[in-house]
Amino acid sequence: MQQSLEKQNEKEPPKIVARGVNVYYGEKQALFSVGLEVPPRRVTALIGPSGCGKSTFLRCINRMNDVIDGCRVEGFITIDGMDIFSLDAVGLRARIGMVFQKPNPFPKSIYENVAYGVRIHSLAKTKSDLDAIVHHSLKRAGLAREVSDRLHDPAYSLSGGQQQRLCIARAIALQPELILMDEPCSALDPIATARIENLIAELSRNYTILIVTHSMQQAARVSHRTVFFHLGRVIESGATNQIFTKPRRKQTERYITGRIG
Amino acid sequence: MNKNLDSNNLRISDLRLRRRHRADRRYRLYGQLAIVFALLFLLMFFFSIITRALPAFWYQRVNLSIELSSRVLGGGAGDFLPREIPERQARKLLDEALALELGSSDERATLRARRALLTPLAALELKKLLEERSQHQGSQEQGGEQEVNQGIRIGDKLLLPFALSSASDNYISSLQANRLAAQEASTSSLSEPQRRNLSILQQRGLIEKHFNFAFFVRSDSRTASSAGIWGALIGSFWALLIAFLLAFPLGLCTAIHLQEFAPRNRFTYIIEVAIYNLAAVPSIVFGLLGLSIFLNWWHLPRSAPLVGGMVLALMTLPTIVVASRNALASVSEGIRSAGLALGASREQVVFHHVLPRAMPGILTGTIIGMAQALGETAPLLMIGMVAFVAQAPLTPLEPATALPVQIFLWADHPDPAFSSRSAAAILVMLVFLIVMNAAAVILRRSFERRG
Ligand SMILES: Nc1ncnc2c1ncn2[C@@H]1O[C@H](COP(=O)(O)OP(=O)(O)O)[C@@H](O)[C@H]1O
Ligand SMILES: [Mg+2]
Repeated sequence: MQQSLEKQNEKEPPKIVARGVNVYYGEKQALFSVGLEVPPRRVTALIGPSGCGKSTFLRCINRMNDVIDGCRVEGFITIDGMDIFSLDAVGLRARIGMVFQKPNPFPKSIYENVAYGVRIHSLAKTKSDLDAIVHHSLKRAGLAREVSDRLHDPAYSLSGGQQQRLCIARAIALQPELILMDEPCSALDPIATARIENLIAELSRNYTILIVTHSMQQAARVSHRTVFFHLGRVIESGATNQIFTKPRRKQTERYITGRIG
Repeated sequence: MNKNLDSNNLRISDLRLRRRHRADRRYRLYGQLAIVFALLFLLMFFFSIITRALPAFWYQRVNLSIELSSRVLGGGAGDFLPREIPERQARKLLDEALALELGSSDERATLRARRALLTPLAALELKKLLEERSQHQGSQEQGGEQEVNQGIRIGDKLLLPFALSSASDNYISSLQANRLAAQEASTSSLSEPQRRNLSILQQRGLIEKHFNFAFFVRSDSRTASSAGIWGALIGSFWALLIAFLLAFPLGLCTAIHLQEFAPRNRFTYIIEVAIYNLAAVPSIVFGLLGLSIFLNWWHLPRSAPLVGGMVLALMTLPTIVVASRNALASVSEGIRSAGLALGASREQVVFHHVLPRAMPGILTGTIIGMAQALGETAPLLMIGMVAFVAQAPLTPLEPATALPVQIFLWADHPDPAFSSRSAAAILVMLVFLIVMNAAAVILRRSFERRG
């Protein structure tokens, strides 16, 4: 079934295209001529040993590397055919949601966390519009029922898994075209992880999702496509099925079978 | 053999464990000893300050019945008092009141000894008091009020309290406390007839101990009994207000820029190091700078709290910058990334999320800086806030003195009554500091609750 979806999707142009992306932290080069394509409304997993540049690549897409002192990005990245380096970084980030490794809600109320992005981009005309957006986003993130009676409690009073779903709600409140997730479950327990994975599957109907994960089982469970990074290079990319069952490259196979740490 | 080895290992680790526990106990003991010592010194400090300060909060006064006789003031019985009463006449009234209690005498020496029972300002105070009352009545007359009789008239008798001179005050206090040593000490400063006079007044029950309310509402004076802390308090208040208004915005903006916006390069590094070093510059150097720039170059008024505040602002600026930077740096990076990833600009991230989070730390640092400034004496001496100022400054441009300088001035005074005032001023300053620190804690709490 996945195969047929794959076929059907191939007709659409890719959401993200990256060509020859080099990233340097000062003198040190972290990415070497990375090229890949991300299909729309699919989950693409980035896997690879730690320190291989997965987070760095993710940060290229919403230009979060711009704010890191001494970080330099070269190459060509487009979203829907538009060169991201010709866009305004702040405007670009408003169109791309990002979820981080450690849940990082603002030290404000649950409501304010979701409303913040909507407020600064003036996406809601009235208070009731804002309420509707907040409620809808919480619902999509699967958090509405748990927090409906305590919207004005501090976000820090939530559990880790709930905080992470709050961060997802905060991201989707802006109706992004694309959601980047950097190991979103690595700080969570198995039950919270399962909830987030279900959420990802659900969200992928409407959003393009790029997820970094260190767990290969997770990549296999949630993603349609998988990209394998090693030492700052893309070694192999393809349908998740194929990568996990018939890897074309030796290094991929060794990583998947647990021989590269 | 294997078993042997095992038990050997066990013994060694047992020995080590015991040694470690012993070291543990030893360090805990050192810590407790240090705390006991610190508390002891603190107790000694408070005991000595409070025992020295107590006399300043009380004073001895004698109630004299003043007859407004026409012999002294002129006019006839039942007339209103003149608008102005010469000090000479007031003194005469006092002399007569004392004569009433102690028996009349026209001898010069006796007269002088009697006058010395009261403070040199007694006659002036009586003059002011009488003039005030007669004016009060005068204004009523103009208003066409019925109750003209309320005012004082020639021939009336008034029972008024007068403060004893500091030597008599000491003598009476030591009599009351039955402290022989102190009695002997003050005996030397009083003549035999003076002591006799005081005993007579005391036996008649005219002398009473009273709370020295004037200490809190009066400014500095040449005589100890009427010297108060109010002027210095207001001087300190103005100087601190100016220092805060200058140093807080400047320091906070510097810290925000350095921490959040400035690129990390050699130039900002040099600025950083300079600021850290500025925090270690002796305060008198800032006084010198104030003297040469604010006074000699810009010609700002000497001795004014404005200049004092500017100098103190320079002094507290590095404290505020360093504390604010640390507070900003301690805000987690995750919050910044979250804001940026939502499409907030850097300014929005700083002002919406980072600054509110850092505010408790910033405020704590600022109040510590202000508390340092409150106790600072040396730079204020340099810019002339050490003058004798008998009036509280109404604006920061008028000559003034500050609490620590007042303490310094009084501590140095030959009259022992001033040294107890100096201790009392220290207590006032400590209370001021405690209030400031309490404010810091309350602000901190309220910000943390909001966060
Ligand atoms: N802010 C940074 N400054 C300097 N080097 C960095 C920074 N972030 C990442 N790197 C380096 O870039 C390489 C890739 O890091 P990263 O993208 O975080 O790897 P991954 O997410 O795959 O574990 C690593 O060698 C890391 O040391
Ligand atoms: Mg990473």
